Amino acid sequence: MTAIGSARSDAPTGLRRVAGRLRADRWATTGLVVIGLFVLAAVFAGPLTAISGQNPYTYHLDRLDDSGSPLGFGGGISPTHWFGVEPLTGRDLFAIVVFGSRTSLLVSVSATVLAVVVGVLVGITTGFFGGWYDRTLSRVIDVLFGFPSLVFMISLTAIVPTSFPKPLLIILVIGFFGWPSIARVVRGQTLSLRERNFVVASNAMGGGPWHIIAHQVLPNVSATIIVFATISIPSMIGVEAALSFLGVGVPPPTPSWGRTIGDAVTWVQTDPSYLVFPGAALFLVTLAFNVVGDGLRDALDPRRGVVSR
Amino acid sequence: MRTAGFVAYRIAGMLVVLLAIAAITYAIFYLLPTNPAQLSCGKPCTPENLARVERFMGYDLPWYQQFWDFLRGIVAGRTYGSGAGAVTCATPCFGYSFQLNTTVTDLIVSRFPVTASIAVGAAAVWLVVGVGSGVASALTRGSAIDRGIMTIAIAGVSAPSYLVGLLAILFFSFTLHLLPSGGYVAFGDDPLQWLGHLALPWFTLAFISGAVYARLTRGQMLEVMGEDYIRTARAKGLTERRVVVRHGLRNALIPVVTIFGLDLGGLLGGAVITEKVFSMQGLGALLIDAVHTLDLQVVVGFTLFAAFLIVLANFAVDLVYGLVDPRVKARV
Amino acid sequence: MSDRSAPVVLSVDGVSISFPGGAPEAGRPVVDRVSFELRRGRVLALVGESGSGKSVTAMSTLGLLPRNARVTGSIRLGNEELIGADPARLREIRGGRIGTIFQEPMSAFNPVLSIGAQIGEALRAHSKGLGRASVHAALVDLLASVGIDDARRVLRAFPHELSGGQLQRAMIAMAISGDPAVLIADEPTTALDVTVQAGILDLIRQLRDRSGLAVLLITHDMGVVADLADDVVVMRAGAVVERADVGTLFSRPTEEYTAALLAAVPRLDSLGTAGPGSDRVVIEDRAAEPPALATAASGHAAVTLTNVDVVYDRRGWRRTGTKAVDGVSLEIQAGRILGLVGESGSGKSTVGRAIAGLVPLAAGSIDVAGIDLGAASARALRTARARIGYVFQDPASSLNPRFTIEQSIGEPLRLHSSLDRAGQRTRVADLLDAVQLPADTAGRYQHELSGGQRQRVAIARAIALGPALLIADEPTSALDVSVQALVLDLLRELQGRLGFACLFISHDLAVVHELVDEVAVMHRGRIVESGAAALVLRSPADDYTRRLLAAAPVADPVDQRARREAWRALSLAPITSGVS
Repeated sequence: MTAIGSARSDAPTGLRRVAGRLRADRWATTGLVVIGLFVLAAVFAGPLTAISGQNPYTYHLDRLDDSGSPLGFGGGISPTHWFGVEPLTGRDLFAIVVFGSRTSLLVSVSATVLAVVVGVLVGITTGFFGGWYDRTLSRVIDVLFGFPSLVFMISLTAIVPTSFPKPLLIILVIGFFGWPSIARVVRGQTLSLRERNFVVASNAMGGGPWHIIAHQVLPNVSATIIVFATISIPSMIGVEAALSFLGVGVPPPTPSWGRTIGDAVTWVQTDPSYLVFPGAALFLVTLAFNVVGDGLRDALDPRRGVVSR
Repeated sequence: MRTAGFVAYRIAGMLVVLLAIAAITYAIFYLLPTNPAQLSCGKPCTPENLARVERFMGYDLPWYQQFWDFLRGIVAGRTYGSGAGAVTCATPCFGYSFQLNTTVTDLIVSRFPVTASIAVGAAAVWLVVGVGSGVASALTRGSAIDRGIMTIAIAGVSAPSYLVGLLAILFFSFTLHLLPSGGYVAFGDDPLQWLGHLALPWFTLAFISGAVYARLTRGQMLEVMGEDYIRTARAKGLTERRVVVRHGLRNALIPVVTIFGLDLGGLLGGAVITEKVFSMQGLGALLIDAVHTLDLQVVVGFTLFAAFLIVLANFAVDLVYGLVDPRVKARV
Repeated sequence: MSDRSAPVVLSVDGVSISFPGGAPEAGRPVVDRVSFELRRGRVLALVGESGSGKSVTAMSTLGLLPRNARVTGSIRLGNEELIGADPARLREIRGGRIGTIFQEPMSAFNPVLSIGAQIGEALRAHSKGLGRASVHAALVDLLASVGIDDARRVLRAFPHELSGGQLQRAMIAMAISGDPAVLIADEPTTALDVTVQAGILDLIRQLRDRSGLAVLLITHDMGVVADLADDVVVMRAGAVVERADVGTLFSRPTEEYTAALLAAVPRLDSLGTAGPGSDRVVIEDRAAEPPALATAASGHAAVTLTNVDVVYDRRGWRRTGTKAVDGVSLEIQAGRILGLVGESGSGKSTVGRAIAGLVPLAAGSIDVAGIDLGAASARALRTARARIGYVFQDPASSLNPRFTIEQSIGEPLRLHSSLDRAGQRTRVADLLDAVQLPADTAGRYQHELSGGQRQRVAIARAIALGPALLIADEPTSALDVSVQALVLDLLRELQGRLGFACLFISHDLAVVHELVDEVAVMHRGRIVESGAAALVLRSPADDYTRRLLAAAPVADPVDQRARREAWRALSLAPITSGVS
């Protein structure tokens, strides 16, 4: 049915058009705004918490009762402590959440950059050159892909000497387990691009492999890379928070949502707001990235989605 | 290629992978500057004591000898030390905890039922719910049902399991007093209690993956239903139900099987988190405790065990995949 | 064939179809008041170029259009109205009263179910309560009736294990399993090789005669129409242009569009008189010495292939190499066009790739413009490649979607010339002019162009460096005939003006015949016959060439009948050049 397929598979995927389609997507736009707010909060965490005169390190024991629970409504919410205070220490929860976004975004974005750089490099070269190089690395990717990575990460944090900076270790470990998925996607695309006539033509007219990779292949996978980076940030955020939740992530006193949530486990009955604020922040930023990623993917591939939520 | 050849090929590949994993795990954990003997020799750690512990644990040998002993231990068991103080570690030996004075294998075996109960149940829940709602969503594309399922799904993929778990405890345990907030009861002791204690962990762990599978299945289903052979099936005059199930779902599930194989590793990680949320003493708790007490033998042994387990499970999924998709064997 | 007053089985009356919503041209009918009648024992061909609405019309009779389609008018099967009919009744009709064959047999079968399961399913859907054994017996009979000999094996096989021809026969078996009155064949042979196509067309003809089927044939190929159709309806942009019986249409088309469409179809000469028997000598001759190329033309060779082997490695458990090209020797003189013809898998495209240095040689040597590709340094290889232009089949994938047309055409200039930016821009403008595209095309992207325009751009890129050799690999097979004619004209004009040698790879003998000076015929990696085009295509010496020629349908019902007879005679005759 040649006439019915009006949605063409080779429809334009230029970045400008994608941006246009994304703007028309109400949900994705909202997601972008939420992400923007979190980034702003992370960048201006100092001035933001200074408004109420707080920081995430100072103890306010006067805000607690004898058992260590915060005094007052909703975990001690007050004009000075907007989200209340932390049980046992009385540290300002708003400051912890705001500075926590800094940790979360820094770790996840760095790990994503690492994973994307390695993944794209491996994916394009394996797909393009093939042969033994491809077979070996593809097998490595397959194995790493199905690996109990969280177990490995937890173990590694115990093995690596304490002198090694922990945040850097977390970034390296998360990034290391993140690259196979993007390598696999990019490799698949490169494989099909390699068979496309414009790539063969470029080869036939004497373009060297790196010329072809840079000019023919890379521009055509860039859209995929952007989408992939967007949807891997929330999972990186999740892993960092999970490690911190389990007590093997970013070490205290550096604020981290995951650790705060982990600490909140024992307080969930007496002080639920200790869980709610960092939990809501984590959920919101993850949701925002996922929604934007979905929107990007639909914008790039008009055949998909149409109604995805 | 015949089925026997296909299986043999996969087994050979799996053995290579297992060996590579053992080598890499060994290299990472034993060549890093942290000295396991130092950690096990207690305080104060005199040089004589350290040397004795090193000899006992086999760390005085050259690295290749150590690696060989390590490998042989997995397939043939090994003995630490000699004489009266010798400790035997039966096959498969994944190491010996000098802090807990027991073999890692015994530790794993004692904790395994907890983790397996969580993981298997959760996987069953997420497959059924995820695939089911994905198909429902695809078939009612654009309707209120589709929107509803997809909205829950995107929220689901964005909600970390521990957050879901804590909220579930808050609601079902502390507010409604319906289910226990944690702990584990063995199936043999009381099946009903077993179920009661596992209901929340299953739901918690299945929520995020079920959401992922709902989205995946919906996408696959929509794609498959646009294929030429669906049109052929309709042109044959088959009922819509038969077209959807036999021609649509059957093909849409093929990538789902692949992803499921890859998710088994994540399932184990998820179980670790779930155990902490519901204070269950499973493998995850074992690992976390070992990390905090720096019991490296347990950490390494368990990591290797987990890797082996997942590779084996992947192998099983691969075979299933070969059954589901007749084209796979031709491609080997 | 029954006469034209045979009873009407299916009538389509004033049917219009539109797709509201979605596309920007929404609301405009895709099919506009189309009417025709299918009669018992007759084949009605629905002909048109892409976008004419012929497939949509056919699918509407089955009620298989997308949900958002709006269909008006009347479609009657016997006395029964199908538009708006009860879905359960429509299901009975689909596969029961109306059988359907689709274009791509490989994708029209479910990849994970065996052929037997899929045909059996169709059988059971329309005759409930059949036992296992009787279904199996019926399946074996069905497959035998469509000319499949090893029915038991085929029933157990999965689609990827069968050839396109076998699959299409199985598809036909499935279509007739419900003993239908109407058979809809939607481009049934477009994805198949000509020799396979001839067999499938013959089978459909037999079915028509044997069971009095009314056939609705949808095709873009005038040769197929001439071969099989009794009546023809020509469609364009959703509307019927002309309807006539097949003899009248081809000899006296009344509409200008029909005449133009027929004129655009490349022609083959009538088959030569060299019948079986007179060629024996030639074949023995050929066995004695490898096929040497006709060297009628004077001047030096632009490219010379000597005993070239290309082996594709099949990676995996057991490594088995397949010889894609086997001992091929060729020579193309400067300024001449050589047509390399053959069916899919014959290795003709691989020869082109080998000349461009895209696949390694297992044996033999290739000499391009005085450079031995096998022995050349990397630098010399680059120079050699600069002398070769390449044009591909699929215009959609020939151009980088992220490049402007100017960037695409300018790529060889950037790689090999010393022109500065302004110089390149001027050159690109000249090239666009040479391929008759407007100058403002330079700033556009490939998705903004039509298939024919894209192919012009690809040609401009190929001639950018003034090549010694142009390799054109099926450059027009993805295009409509009217567009094909224009592109062929352009190629001929450029070749005459610029004087490059050209390797024209094609499966279409008629196209080759229109364009080339010499022909080489490939079969299973070997060249079975070569020589001056006029000679080879009129009086072929080789058995395979003769079969190929006889199988190629021509757009003339009378001529085509003669070819069909020749093809039948040949397919019964013993085979001497390795056709199984």
